[in-house]
Amino acid sequence: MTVLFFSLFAGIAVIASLCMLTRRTALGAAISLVVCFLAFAGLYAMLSAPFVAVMQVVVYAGAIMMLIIFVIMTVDTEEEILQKERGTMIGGILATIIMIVGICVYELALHTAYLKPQDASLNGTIANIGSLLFTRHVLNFEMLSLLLLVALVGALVLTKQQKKKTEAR
Amino acid sequence: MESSAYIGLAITIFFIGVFGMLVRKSAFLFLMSIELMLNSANLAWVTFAKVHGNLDGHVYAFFIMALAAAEACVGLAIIVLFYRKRRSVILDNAKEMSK
Amino acid sequence: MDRQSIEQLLWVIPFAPLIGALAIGLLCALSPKRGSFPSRTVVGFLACLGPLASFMVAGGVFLALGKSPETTPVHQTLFSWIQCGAFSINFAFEADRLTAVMLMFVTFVGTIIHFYSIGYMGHDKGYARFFSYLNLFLSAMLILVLGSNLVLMFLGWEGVGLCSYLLIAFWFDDEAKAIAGKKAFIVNRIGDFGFVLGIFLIYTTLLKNGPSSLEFSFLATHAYLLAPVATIASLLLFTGAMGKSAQIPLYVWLPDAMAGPTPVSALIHAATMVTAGVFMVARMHFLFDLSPLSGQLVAGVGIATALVAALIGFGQNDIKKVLAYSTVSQLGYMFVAVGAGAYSAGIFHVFTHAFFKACLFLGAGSVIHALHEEQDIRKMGGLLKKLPITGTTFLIAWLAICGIPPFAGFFSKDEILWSVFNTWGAYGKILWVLGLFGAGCTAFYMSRLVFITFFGKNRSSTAFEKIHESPPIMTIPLIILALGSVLVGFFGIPEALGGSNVFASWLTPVFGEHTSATHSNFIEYVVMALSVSVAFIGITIAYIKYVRKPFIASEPRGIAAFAEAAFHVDALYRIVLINPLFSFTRNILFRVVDVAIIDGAVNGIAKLSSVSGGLVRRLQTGTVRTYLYYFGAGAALLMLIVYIGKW
Repeated sequence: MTVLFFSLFAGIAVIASLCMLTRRTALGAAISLVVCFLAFAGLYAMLSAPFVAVMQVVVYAGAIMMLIIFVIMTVDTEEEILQKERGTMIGGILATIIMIVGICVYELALHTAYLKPQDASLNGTIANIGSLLFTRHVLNFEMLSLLLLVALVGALVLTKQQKKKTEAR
Repeated sequence: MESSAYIGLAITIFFIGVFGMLVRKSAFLFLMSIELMLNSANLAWVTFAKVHGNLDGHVYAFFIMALAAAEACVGLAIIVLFYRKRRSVILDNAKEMSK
Repeated sequence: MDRQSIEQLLWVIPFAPLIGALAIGLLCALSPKRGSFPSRTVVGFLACLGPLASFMVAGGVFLALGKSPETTPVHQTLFSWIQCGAFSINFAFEADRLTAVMLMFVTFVGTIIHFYSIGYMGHDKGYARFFSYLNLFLSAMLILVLGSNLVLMFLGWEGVGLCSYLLIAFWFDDEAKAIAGKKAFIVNRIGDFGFVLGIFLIYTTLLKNGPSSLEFSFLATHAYLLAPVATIASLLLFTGAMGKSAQIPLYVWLPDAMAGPTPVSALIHAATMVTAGVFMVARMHFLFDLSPLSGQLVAGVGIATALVAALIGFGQNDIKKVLAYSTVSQLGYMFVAVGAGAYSAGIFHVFTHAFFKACLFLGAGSVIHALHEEQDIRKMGGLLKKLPITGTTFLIAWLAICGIPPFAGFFSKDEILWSVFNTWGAYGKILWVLGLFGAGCTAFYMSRLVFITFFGKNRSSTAFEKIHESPPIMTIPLIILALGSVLVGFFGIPEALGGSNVFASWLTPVFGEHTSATHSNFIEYVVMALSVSVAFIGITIAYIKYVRKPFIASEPRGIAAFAEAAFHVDALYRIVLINPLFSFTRNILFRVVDVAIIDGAVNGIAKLSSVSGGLVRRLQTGTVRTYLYYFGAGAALLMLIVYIGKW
C-alpha cells in the first residue's frame, strides 16, 4: 500500500517538476509547481508529518504560489524563447542525470549507515511541534518573525513607486 | 517504505531545480526553481526526522517554509522592479556587469 | 662671576640669538599686515639683544676660565638628546679656553655686524627676515663652538650651512643669487658627508675597544685608541673642514657667496661659518696629532689654497670678490698652521682675521652703499676724500691683512710662517717659501684694491659730490673693528720681540706645550724681516702700477683675464664633474634605471594584470546563468574531491 502511494506521489512530483521546466509560459510553470507541491504534501503525510503536510498545502501551495501567480499576472510576461543551443541543453541534462544517479548510487547504495530503520513512534502533530517550537526553538522562532518583517519592509521599499521624489522635483 | 527512496526522490527533485535554474531565462522560473530545491531539502529534513525519531526536523522544515515565504516576497519585489526598469523579466538582458 | 653661575648660564650663549630669531620670525609671521608691524626699530632692537646677551655671558665664561686656577672646561648638560641602547648623546655645552676665545670674537664681531646691519639693511623689504636669519646663523655657530660632543657640533655645523644658504640666497628673486645659495649648500654637503663618515669611523673604532662616546673630553683621553685609523678619520674630518672653510677643491662656493647682503659676507667670512673648519681641526687636535701624514696633507692643501686664491685675487674687479678670495687665501694660512701642529697660531690668525676681515667687508659694504650698489672697483676711485671714516678704517684693515707691523695680521701671519719654518725640515721650508710668496701676493692684490678704490680719480657713475659717508650706525662698528685690527695683535707678541705671547700661553692647557725646534732669535728676526719686506714689495709694486700711473680700466688680457675668470675653475668643475654627473644621471639613472627598469617593472606589472584581466573578463558575461554554471561546476568539483577523498 505505501509503495503504491509513494510511487503515485513521487511520480506526480517528478513529472510536475519536469513540466514546470518545459512550460513556455511562467503561468503554466507555476501551476505545474503547485501540483508538485501538493504531491509533496502527500509524501509528508506518509512520513507521519501531518503538520508539515498541512503547512505545505496552506503556505506553499496556497500563499507563496498564489503570490507568485498574482505577480506573474500583473507583470505582462512575454513568452520565453526556450533554449536553442542544443549542446548546452543536452550537456546540462546529461550533467544533471549523472549528478542524480551518481549521488543516489553513492549515498544510498554505498553509505547507508545513517539510514537506520524508521522510528514508527514519531508523530509530528501540531501539539508536539508547537511545544518544541516554543521551548527549544523559541529564539529561532522569534528571529524568524523578525526576518519576515524585514522581508516585508524590504519588499515595500523596493517596489515603492518613487512618486515623492518626482513631486519634489 | 524505505527511507532511501525518499532521499533519492529529494535528490532528483533538487537537481531538477538546479537544471531549471540553469536553462530557463525567465526570472519567475528562476524563483520557482529555487522553491523546488527548498522543497526537496524539506523532504530530506522530514525523512531524516522520521529515521532518527526526532521532531526537530519538522521544526526546521517549518522554518524553511517561512524562509521561502520571505525569499519569495523579496524576490518578487526585485522582479517587479526589474520589470519596471526594462519591461522584461528575461534575466539575460541584465548584462551591465560585463561592460 | 664665579664658575658655578657661569656653568648655569652657558645655555644662554647659543639660545639668546635663537630666541631672538624665533621672536622676530614669529612677530613677522603674526603681523597682520606684512611689513607694517613689527616696526624696524623693534626688530633691530630685538635682533641686537640676543647677540649682546651672548657676548656678555661669553665674557663671563672668558673671565671665569681666566681666573680659575684649574683649567677644566666649564660644562653644562641640558638634557639627554639621543638615547638608543648604549649610544647616548647629551645636549651639553662645554667651554674650555679654546672655546672661550672663539666665543669672544664670534659674539663680539657678530654683535657689531648686527648693529651695522641695522643701517645697511635699513631700506630692504626683507628687514625682519634678514635679522631672523642672522640671529639663527649666530646661534648655529655658537652651538657648533659650544657643543660638548661631535654630534652636537655637527648640529651647529649643519645649522650654519643652512643659514648660509638662506642668507646667500636672501634676495632669492634674483636667480643668480638663488643659484649661489644653492651652490654653497651643495658644496658644503660634500664636505659634510666626509665629516659624518669621520664621526661614524671614530665611534665604531672606539666601540671595538669598550664603551664609546662622542664627547670631546672622552675622545681626548681615549685618542690613543684611534691611532690605527687616525689618518683616515682625520682626513674625513678635514673633508668637512674643506667644505666649510673653503679649501681646495671645495672653495668655489665662497666667492659666489658674495651674492648675499654684505653684512652676511662679513659674518660668514669673519665670525661664523668659515672659521668653523679651522676650529674643528683645532678641537680635534689630538686626532690630527696622531697622524703626521694628515697634518702634512692639511698644510699642503692650505698652502695651495692660499696661493691659488691669492693669484685669482689679482684679476678680480668686484670689490667683494677680491675680499672673498683673500678670505680663501687667509683660510689657507690657517690650515697651514693647524696642519703644522701650531694650533694656537692658527686660532690666533682666525682671531685677528675676524677683526680685519669684518672691517674690510663692512667697509666694502659702506662703499657699496655710498655708490648705490656699485661693486665694480673700476668704477670707483678717489673715495678716501669722500668717505673719510670708511676709508681710514679700510686702510687700517688693509695694513693688517698685508702683515705690516704693528697691525694684527703681522703677528698672526708671522707666527704661522715661523712655526711652519720650524716644522718638518725641508717640507716645512718649502711651505714657508710658498707662504712668504703668498704673503707678497696678498699685499699686492689688497693694495691694488685699496689704491684703485680709494685713490686716483672718481670713475663712478654717481656724481662725486653726491657721495656721502654712511650713518654712524655703520661707521661706529667700522671704527671699533679698525681699533681691533690694530690692537688684537698685541695678544700674541712673540717672545723674540720681548713679548710673552699671551695668546699661545692662554691656549696651552688645551693644546699642550707646542715644542718647536731650538732656534736663535736671530733666525726669527730674519724670518720676520723677510715677511715684512715681502709685504712692502707687494705694496710697492701695486703703488707703482696703480697710483703712479693713472688707472685705466681696460679689457684684461692673458694671465689677467685668466685670473679674472678665477682660473676657470668653475668651468673646469662643470666639464669634469657636473656635466658627467648630469649626463650619468640623465642617461643611466633616468633613462635606464628609472624609465627602463623601475618604470618598466611598474608598467609591466600593470600590463600583465591588464592582459590577464582581458583574458579572465571573457568569463564575466554579466549573465546570471553563466555564473550559475560556474557555481554548479565548482560545487560538482568540490563534491568530486570529497568523494574521491572518502574512497
